[in-house]
Amino acid sequence: MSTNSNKPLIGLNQVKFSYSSESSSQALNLPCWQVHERESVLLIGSSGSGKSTLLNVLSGLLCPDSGQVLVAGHALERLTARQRDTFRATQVGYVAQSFNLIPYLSAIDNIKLTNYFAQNSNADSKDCDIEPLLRELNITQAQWHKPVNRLSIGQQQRVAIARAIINKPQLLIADEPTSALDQANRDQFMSILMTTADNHNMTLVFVSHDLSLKRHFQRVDSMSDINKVEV
Amino acid sequence: MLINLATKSLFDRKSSVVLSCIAMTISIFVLLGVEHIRKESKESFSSTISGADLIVGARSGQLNLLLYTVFRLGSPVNNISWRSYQKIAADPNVDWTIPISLGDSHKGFRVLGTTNDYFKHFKFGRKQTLAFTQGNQFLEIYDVVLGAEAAASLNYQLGDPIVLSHGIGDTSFSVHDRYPFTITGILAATGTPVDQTVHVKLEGIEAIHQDNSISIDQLKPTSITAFIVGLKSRVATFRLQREINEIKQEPLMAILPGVALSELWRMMSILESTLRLVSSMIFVAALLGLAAVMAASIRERKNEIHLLRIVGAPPGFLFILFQIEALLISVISILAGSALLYLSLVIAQKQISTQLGLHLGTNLFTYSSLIIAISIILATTLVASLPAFQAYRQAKSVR
Repeated sequence: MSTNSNKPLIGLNQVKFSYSSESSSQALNLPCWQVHERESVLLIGSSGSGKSTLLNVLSGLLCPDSGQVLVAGHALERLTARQRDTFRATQVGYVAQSFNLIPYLSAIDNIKLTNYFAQNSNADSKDCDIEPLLRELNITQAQWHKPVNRLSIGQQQRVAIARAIINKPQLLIADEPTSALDQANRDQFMSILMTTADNHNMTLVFVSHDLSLKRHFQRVDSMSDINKVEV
Repeated sequence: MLINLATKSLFDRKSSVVLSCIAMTISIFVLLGVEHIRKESKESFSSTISGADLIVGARSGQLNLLLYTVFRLGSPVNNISWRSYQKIAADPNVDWTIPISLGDSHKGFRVLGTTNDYFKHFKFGRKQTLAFTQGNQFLEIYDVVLGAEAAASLNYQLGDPIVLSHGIGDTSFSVHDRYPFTITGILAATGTPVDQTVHVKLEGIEAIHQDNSISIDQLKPTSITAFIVGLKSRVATFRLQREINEIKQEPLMAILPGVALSELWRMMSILESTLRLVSSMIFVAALLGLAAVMAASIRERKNEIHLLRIVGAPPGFLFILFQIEALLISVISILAGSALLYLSLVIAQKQISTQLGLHLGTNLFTYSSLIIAISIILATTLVASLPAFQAYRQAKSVR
């Protein structure tokens, strides 16, 4: 695995977020949290600990009530909603537990769709990028044009990785992507994910309940340690 | 990409989409059909007679006189005497006249007794005169000239003998089989009721209604149903109309075909408005059904909306995606509705022409159809804004 640089890709400072104006509903209170470039971090925490909220703040889906969110050189709290959409399309790859792909589209179309939002207008270069990537992730050519709902769960997760990294994002976010997989598929998925992130020099923030995955990561953070929400 | 996504999304929900398409197609079929039939029937009626200044018949209503004389619809209330006809025809202002005798039929086609002046002076459309595709006008008393549609439907050729029936029904128990007629001419198609008419000489009509055989020389018409008048100068139209209406010896009525047609349009306009309203309501109901189906799909597409937001789709993309899906359904329905209408017209054209005397064209690419299609698309955009805005809000609230 490549070593991470000392330059932070993610820098959160005094970040607070609530789903309503009442202080009792505060979901995030992060005094300081950093992740360096090319670092892989496993974020563990129980349900309701703010993991998904943190990921949504990092991807620009949510805007913090206060504090600074610096991701890949972008101060997200200063961006407009439209700029945050573009930021998410170009700088963040996202792999979720389920529904990572539009089920009625093929693998190629799903990946092209993500490419479309990154405003890459060169159609030829898209195909040139997509096909080697699918081969790299062991998706056979026969599977490329099938609607993804006809692929196995394992194949769908690999297409999801391809979809997440097609725009060469600096940050790859994985939100419990292994929780629906059996042991064999989970190991295979982790191996492919870690290799892909490494090969493409991406920073990986991986959320899971499963502590047995920690051997794959350079760092393990617990939400209870970084999120100082008053209960 | 947007159209590709919208198309595949619709295909994925084909069962509900097909139902919406069917409802829209039927409503568009009705909408276009009503407009097409309205326009075509108006054109068909307007082009049936031209160049005639007056129509004279027994006193009744001007609409009734126009309908039975020109369009072969309804029945005459009474005949007018041959003497009155001759007197008016001899007026110095009168250029030509066409006497008309109705009341008989042949296999459902109306028989019109007239003279050769009919083929000379009767004009339709843009003052077009009648033309023969085969044969000639009347030479003998029992000669028949068939309209194009009557000849084609009955598969008659020149020289074929036919017998006339009393009355105007499809079936008659009183057949004038003692006096067979011979087909001597077939007219070119005009797109007017002339095409469904069996033309015979006035003397022929007179002959078949005589109880005893009389010599041909003695066959003089005693009465006719009506006659069409062409004047030397239009300036005399109103004066002659007034004079005819004031004749004391016989209750006659002279009408101006254009004025009578205007009255017909006035009466028809109520029916037209009602049909338009009903067809519009059917379309609105189908459109609301489409909006309801789309609104219901937002819940089942919650994950899809979430995923699109995750990969960077702005909320406006979801608004446009839903609008494009509605527009695709609308365009498919317009095409299907038009195709259905075209097929229906092709199939029913002949029947409508024979039964109602209405000549409906199959050309749907008209200005009014284009306006309707554009209105449908605009209405769809407007109504689809509601579910599209719901999708937009759903996209904005993704967290």
